Amino acid sequence: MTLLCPAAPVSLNAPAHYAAGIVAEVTDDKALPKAARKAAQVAHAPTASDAAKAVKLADKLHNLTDLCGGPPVGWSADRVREYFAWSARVVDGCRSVRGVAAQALLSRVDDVLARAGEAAVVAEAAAKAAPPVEGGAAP
Amino acid sequence: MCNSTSTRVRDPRAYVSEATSLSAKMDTSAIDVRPTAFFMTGVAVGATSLYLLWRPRAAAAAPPAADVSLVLSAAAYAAIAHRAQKRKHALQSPYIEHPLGVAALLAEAGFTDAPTLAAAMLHDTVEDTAVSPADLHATFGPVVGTCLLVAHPRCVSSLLVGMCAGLCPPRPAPNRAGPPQLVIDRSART
Repeated sequence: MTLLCPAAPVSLNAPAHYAAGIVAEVTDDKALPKAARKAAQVAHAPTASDAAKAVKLADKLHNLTDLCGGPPVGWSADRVREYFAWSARVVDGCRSVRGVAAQALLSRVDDVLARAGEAAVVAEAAAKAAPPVEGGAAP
Repeated sequence: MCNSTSTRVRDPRAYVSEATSLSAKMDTSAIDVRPTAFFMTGVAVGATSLYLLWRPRAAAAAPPAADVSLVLSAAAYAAIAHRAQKRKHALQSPYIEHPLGVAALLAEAGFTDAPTLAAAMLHDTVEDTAVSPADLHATFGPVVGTCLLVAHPRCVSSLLVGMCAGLCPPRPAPNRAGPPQLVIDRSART
């Protein structure tokens, strides 16, 4: 019975084809300081599974598109630029993702990455209306 | 010209009558049919068991209803987990907007894989809420292993029934061989 029906091994961090496994792959270690966490995300991206890369790309696409519409409360133009630059590094780590859908996603992310300047201008205008706060929230 | 004996074409009916009389004379009791019978039975049992073993697994692979259920359960789970959070924009919209938006972007790009879409819904639950990786595994963990465990006793019984009665058991309802029930963890409400 064991031979015929092995229970699937449950490893919390294994790259996997089920939702919880993919989430484990895209979850940052909150125990690390913020800078190290961001660096770890850049370093980890190329080793992630295709599904995790796709989720990362869509996450960045959504956040960056939002930033183009206007920054989170308290964000300076510089912080918006930094976020775009860091996102570009994570996206570069995900370029090896396979699949037609993933490539379509990648081209959409590239389109929005090219709008970094525009987002910074919007952030500058917003900052003039309300001065930035240090350590504002993530989008 | 028409010399009768050597060149005359033989009446084909003669062959038939000859063969019939030969088979009538043949002693069929001397032929041992057991090896052939064993072989044919083996092939039949083997093919039936392979079919019965594979069928529940194929049904459990990815029924569309289970896909829809998985994605919607993930959305509902994420909505509860993020219920106290807002987006950090001036509008202060509910946070669930982000996971839903990420999943929608994947679907728009052409992703149809349910676990990937569910993972997009759930991608910030562990990082930003009280949900732990173990909580998530309990509800959205490996589906295949559980399906096989659920399907297995039925495989054995179907096999026995099929072999003994020579009948094919009715096809099990797809839902029963599908993924485990997705139960939303109420502790994530806080």
